[in-house]
Amino acid sequence: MTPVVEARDVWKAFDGTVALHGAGLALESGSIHALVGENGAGKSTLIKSLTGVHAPDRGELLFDGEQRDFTGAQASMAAGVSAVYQERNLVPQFSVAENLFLNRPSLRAGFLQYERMYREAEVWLERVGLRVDPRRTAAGLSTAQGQLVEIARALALESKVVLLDEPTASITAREAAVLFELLRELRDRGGAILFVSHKLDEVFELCDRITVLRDGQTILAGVDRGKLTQGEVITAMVGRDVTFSERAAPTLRHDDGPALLELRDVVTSLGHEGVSLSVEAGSVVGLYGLVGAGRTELARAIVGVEKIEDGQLLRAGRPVRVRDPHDALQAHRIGYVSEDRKTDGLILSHSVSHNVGITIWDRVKSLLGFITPARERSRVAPIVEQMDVKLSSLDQQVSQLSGGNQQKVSVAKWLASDVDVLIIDEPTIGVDVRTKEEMYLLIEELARGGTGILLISSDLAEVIRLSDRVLVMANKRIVAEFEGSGDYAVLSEHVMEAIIEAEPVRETIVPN
Amino acid sequence: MPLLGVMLLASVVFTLISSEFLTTFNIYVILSSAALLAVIGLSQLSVLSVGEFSLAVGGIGEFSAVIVGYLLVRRGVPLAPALLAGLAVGTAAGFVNGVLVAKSGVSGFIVTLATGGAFAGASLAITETSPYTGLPHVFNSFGTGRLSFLPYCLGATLVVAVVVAVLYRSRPAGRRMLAVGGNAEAAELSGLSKTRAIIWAHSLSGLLASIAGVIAMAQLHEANPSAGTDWLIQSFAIPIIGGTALAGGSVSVGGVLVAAVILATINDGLILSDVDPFWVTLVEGLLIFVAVLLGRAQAWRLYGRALARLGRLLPRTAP
Repeated sequence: MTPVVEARDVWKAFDGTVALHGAGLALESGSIHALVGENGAGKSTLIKSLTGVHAPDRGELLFDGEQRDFTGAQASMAAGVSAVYQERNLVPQFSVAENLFLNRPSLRAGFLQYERMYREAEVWLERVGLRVDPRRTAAGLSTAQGQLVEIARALALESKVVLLDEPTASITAREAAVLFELLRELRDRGGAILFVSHKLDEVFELCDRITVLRDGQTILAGVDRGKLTQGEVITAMVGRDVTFSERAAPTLRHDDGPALLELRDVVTSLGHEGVSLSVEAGSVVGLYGLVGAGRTELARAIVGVEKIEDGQLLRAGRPVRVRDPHDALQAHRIGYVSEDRKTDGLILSHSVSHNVGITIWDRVKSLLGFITPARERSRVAPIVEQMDVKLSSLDQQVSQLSGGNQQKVSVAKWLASDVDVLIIDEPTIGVDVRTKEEMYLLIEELARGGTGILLISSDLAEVIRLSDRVLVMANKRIVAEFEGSGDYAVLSEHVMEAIIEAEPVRETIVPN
Repeated sequence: MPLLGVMLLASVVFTLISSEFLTTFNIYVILSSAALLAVIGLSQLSVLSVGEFSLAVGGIGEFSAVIVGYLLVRRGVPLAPALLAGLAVGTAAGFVNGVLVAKSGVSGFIVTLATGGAFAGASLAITETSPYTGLPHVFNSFGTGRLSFLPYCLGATLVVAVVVAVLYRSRPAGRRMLAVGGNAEAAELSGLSKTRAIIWAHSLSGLLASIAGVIAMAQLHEANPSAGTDWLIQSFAIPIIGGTALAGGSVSVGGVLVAAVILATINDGLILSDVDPFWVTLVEGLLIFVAVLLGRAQAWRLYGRALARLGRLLPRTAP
């Protein structure tokens, strides 16, 4: 059977960063096809290449066996392809109904017919199980409601090809069950559906075929679900080329005294439950999990961005309440190197010395409150040197540095601040092997100096290489804990088992 | 609603201060100035709808008027084709702005600053700085004629306002502009072109600016090359006071009409009360500021939080 949609050997780069190199995908009608892969594997880029939002640099796109190049979303929709993208795509000022029919509002003689749109919207909202007034604006919708509106929009087009990029990321199990029913119905009527999800149990429950992307390449191409186990899929997703140096000897532990940071049965507003962990002085605690397990969210809760609703956060044995990242840094000496350095971690248009100095402005300012470049530089220079950041001068703009050096600057910022506890989120995403190694040495040196480090990473080799203790998170709970032996072959197997065995947490179903 | 309150309050105060305020003639003066202000405001509103702005409203307005004046006075072209040519020039000028902003990637600030300056300069060059006078009688009486307290030109403004309101409420072109202003990425992923919406918005703005230019010309009985000099602040003040979102995605045509009357009333009242005209501009500036503050829910939330914090502090200081 000819696939309805096929992508062959697709290449796409953004500003020199390769997102896809040689990705392929084939969707058949009457089938639900899963596309899985870690963050940054290129799933969203592939979807956007299929719908014409991105123009691939190379490769072929075939629809019904014929080559087509869509010039934009309008063209692909006209050809019968609808999509729910990962970003939320509603116009907040418009009514729910108008958002549903955004690209093809009901018209009479060129004028919008709101009443008709409200009536038709009701039908689609009902089908996805969303009870909201189609007249209300989209502004006040919750994330889950917004996602359902977008799903309804894609279904309302009644296209033969439906691409869903993480449609279940923020909806409840019950809403997902309604969606799955709809998708099965659509499949039985001959639709071709692409379903992206990080939740493998969903994938195995719903999908007929599975394609795995890793680092922009297709690793498994449309394999029959029955022929795969979850373990095999995970291995395909994360199996990176493991090239890492020997783990350093376990760092000296300052075991006397309470842990620098301890969580006891913490419950957060984002759904973490019963999370307990401790980070001792001089130790590296690795927190591993698949994307969506809730690791970054936990870090954000620790530094006060998200709310801790129950349980205790202890700093050096004393229960504390962290109000915000500023409070975390100044009052509790907890630093956070964020995962997304471009948006959260660095001010790209500012100089290196500015970026590194930002956490210590309160301390370098003179009596009158002035921060002079000289004072800033005198504190910053030794640290930047220690980290071996490649730069022409401290006044160079951060945006001119390479990705790896940018990452170093964002870590240097926290070194300068001289914190006791440092949470490092994905320290080596997008950096080359050499920089990676330098970053590892740096983290180890920090630990040797007595800093307690909580390392968050989805690179298992990295976690095992660095950690004194490995915690495994799945479904916003810590499901296993291992001593860090540094033995990748043994530990990785244990960790994968723990993830596969972790019972998916089902949301409590509230009867209407 | 708070706007109408402001207007009533201002009217009462001015009535008390000046006996001339509540006369038929003065109400005509206010409405006639509001008729012009509203169209200036609508010209800015249309670019605000896509989340852009234009500094060229005044430049395009006076340039279009000068073209009309030139055709009428120097070339002896009949009134109707001359007016049509003026509106076409304004629309084309807006279209050029739109294309430059949408396609070049240069910010709208720079583009409209440059073109606005160019149009203003061209107006001065064409007229050699002296206004064209001796316009047709019909045209002049459209500008200054009245029926009791109702100026004729107010009719034109109301027609324009209704057309713009219907465009933004019920026509796909208007909805597309608002969708792009509300969430450009969402609009594009739904197949609506951001480029087209921006070009539309600037073209509409150019057309409305040229209508404002023509109204100003009729009111002054001359095509004055610097008629649009003061329009910049007003063009922003009126939609913002009227509740149009600066960030795009939501417009209020009714709000523009009310805000134009408020601004006209306050200007008139201040002049009748012998306030120096320079202070009038200061008041306009303050009004924008207050309107923006009132329009920001965030400001209210901050206020609420400050109150709550104060509330938490108080018991502690009590014995």
